[in-house]
Amino acid sequence: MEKSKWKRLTEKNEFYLFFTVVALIVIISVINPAFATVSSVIDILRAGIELAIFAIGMFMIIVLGGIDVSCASIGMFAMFTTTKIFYEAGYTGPLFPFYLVAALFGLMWGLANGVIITSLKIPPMIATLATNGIMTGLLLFFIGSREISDVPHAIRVENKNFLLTVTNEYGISSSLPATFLVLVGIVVVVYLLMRFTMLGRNIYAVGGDETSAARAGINVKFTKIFTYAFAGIIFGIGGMVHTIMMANSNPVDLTGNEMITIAAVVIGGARLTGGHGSIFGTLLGVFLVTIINNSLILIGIPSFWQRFVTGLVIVVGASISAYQALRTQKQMNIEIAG
Amino acid sequence: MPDVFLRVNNIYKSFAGVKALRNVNMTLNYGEARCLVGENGCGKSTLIKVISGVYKPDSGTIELNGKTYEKLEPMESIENGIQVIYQDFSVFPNLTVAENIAMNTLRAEKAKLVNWKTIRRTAQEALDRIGVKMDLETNIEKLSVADRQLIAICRSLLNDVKLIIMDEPTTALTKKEVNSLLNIIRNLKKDGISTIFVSHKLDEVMEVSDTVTIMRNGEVVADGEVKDFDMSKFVYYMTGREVTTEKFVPTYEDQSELLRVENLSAKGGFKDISFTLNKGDVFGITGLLGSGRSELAQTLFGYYRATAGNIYINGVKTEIKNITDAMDEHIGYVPEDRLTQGLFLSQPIKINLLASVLDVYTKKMQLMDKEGQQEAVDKQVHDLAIKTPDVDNLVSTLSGGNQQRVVLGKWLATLPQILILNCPTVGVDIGSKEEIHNIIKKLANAGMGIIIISDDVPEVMNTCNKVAVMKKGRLINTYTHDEVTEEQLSSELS
Repeated sequence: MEKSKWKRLTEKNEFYLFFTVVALIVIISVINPAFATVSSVIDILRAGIELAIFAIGMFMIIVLGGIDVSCASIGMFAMFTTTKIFYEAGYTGPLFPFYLVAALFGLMWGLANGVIITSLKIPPMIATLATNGIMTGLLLFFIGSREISDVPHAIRVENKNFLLTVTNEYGISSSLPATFLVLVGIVVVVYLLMRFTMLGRNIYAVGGDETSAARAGINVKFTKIFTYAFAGIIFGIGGMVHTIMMANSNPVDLTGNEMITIAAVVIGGARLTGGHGSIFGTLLGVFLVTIINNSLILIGIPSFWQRFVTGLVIVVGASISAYQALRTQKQMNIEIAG
Repeated sequence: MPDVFLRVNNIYKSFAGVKALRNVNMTLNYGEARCLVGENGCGKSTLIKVISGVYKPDSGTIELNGKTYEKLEPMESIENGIQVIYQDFSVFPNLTVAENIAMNTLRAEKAKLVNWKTIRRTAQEALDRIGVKMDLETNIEKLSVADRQLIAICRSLLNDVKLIIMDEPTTALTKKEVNSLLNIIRNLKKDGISTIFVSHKLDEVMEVSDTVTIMRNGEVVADGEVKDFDMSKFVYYMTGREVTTEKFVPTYEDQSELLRVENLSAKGGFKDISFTLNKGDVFGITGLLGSGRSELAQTLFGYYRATAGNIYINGVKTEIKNITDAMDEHIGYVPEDRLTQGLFLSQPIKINLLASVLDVYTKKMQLMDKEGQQEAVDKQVHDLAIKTPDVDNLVSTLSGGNQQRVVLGKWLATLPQILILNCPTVGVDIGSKEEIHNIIKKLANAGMGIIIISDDVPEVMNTCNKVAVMKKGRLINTYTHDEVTEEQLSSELS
């Protein structure tokens, strides 16, 4: 009965995704050897930080069986309001309070989403579309619509804070920013939460079957509110990371990013119906999307094809799992005598 | 320790004005196995949900271990050692076998963190306890219905469980699996664990239970020891009337050949199947789950493709490549699982009844013919005696028996000449079952050829004039109904 570890591995989406990513890297490297350098690895990591943070928050919500199309707006609201507050106050202190305040704004909107979805029983897609509109409106009308380029000192310092820098033969340097550590921290916390706490397992259980979860004594409402709120914190921090990496806070900067975030999570093997997905898969999905967006140009594919290829990857990825499901469904498994 | 574990006192519960429970009382001792029977919609499920804390009663109290509760919460019910195995098992399809089994233990221990070693150990112990081998790391969605049921049972076997409630535990199981389940219940009884057993299958109920509570229309109509009841008394209390059954004798005049199957085979499904179905015949194919019975039925309906053999309809060789081909030949198929395969649950009764004939009731420009549709619907509702105040109500509001009639109606609307029914009365109560059998007999006597797939031997004996036994993908014996007895069929089955 015990299946081999290998067999079990080959049943996982992440397994195929991993090889897709590796194959893509090999293909690009063969066509353009400049890709297979430390510099470009660092460039991709750097380019993926922000998307990865948002995707991890979205991953939790999708595992729960929900969706949050307001994630980019939460990030925007958090980063711009935070920057504005500190900017107006002429703050010159350390960086940490920026993250803290941005996280609190994220928490606030995440809580709002969770409470609206569970109390008013509005489908998450509709509820977060609504809060998305509300928060962008509030942001632009009350907080401000002009970007802040003269960001506080701590942000400018952090913008130039690199973990390592590599210079290639042409004298162009690539640097891995310190915000990468924020991503690492979030990955570790969410991994431990989802894998080793009852709360995390409850998120999977609710995503798997809500009725069963309620019957098992799981507080479904709390689990949902928690997930949206926790993801909200991550979105808030993600927004702040954006401002730091740009050294600029623009209240419309992230508009539309929710779609690429959802795409990355889905490519990473999470199912929109809930209950399935892993943080490793999500990171692979982010990696794949980032390579497509940043590196296709290296092999001579014009940049406007990037969206096309991203779309293609979603179609192919989704149809493979749909085809697998159909095949098992249409297979007869009767032991025939004689 | 007191003798009484659970006492339900004067429970009332209504939903939107409909009284689901009226003054219900029930007592359960430690180690007692009580069965709770009644027709669909009599309030059994509601009562169970009150005991498990899912529903709060309008009035009345629940006593557990001597402690009285007015509003019982699901966690309180679990903490008092009550575990419910629901009809749909309530397992988590996305999680592994191990995690599903250990979930309740972890909850009962109020764990905050998850230790995967403990989870695997807990799960293995539970599996060992009922003597089942299963791969702990497989996701439940890959398992069969019977395996899911076993997992639901394992999950409820917590260390401090006092009462296990099983809601229709045997509908998805074969006879062999039912027997092992009954053995598990007997062992639990020895450990002082009480069980409440909800079932339509009275023979099983009588085999394992000490006491019985019979409900009808939200009230308890009889309560006592199982040995004081016999089959007819059961049926009388459940339905409020006497139910009699007669064997079916075809009376349609033109008994010419309708369908002939010769050496039909499908890879991985069945091999060398041959039989003949005449007009007015009800042909029963009885076999266990995994005998290839459903695969055969679905191949005749074009869902699967046969790999060898011939099908003749009215003497003409016919190929059935897909469901459209089958429908063109006027073959109808009522699936085994009406909830997922036969009905649009969230759609009105009317739409469901018309689903397979929407193209018939159209006017010019493909516009809907509302009057024609309404007439057709009214006729079906009348002919099949579907009990509903309004055909615009959702199908999900109907009881199991009435839902099954809607599935039947959907196919009868296509005016089939051959109707294949796969386990037509699973999860249907006695009264409705009898009525569905009568509808089947009536249809046959009007000239339709009917194939019934079922492992319910009494059902096959009562409704069919020809019976075949299917085993390991082959049709091993074919009888007319007076050549064989119930006992003989049962023994050939297993």
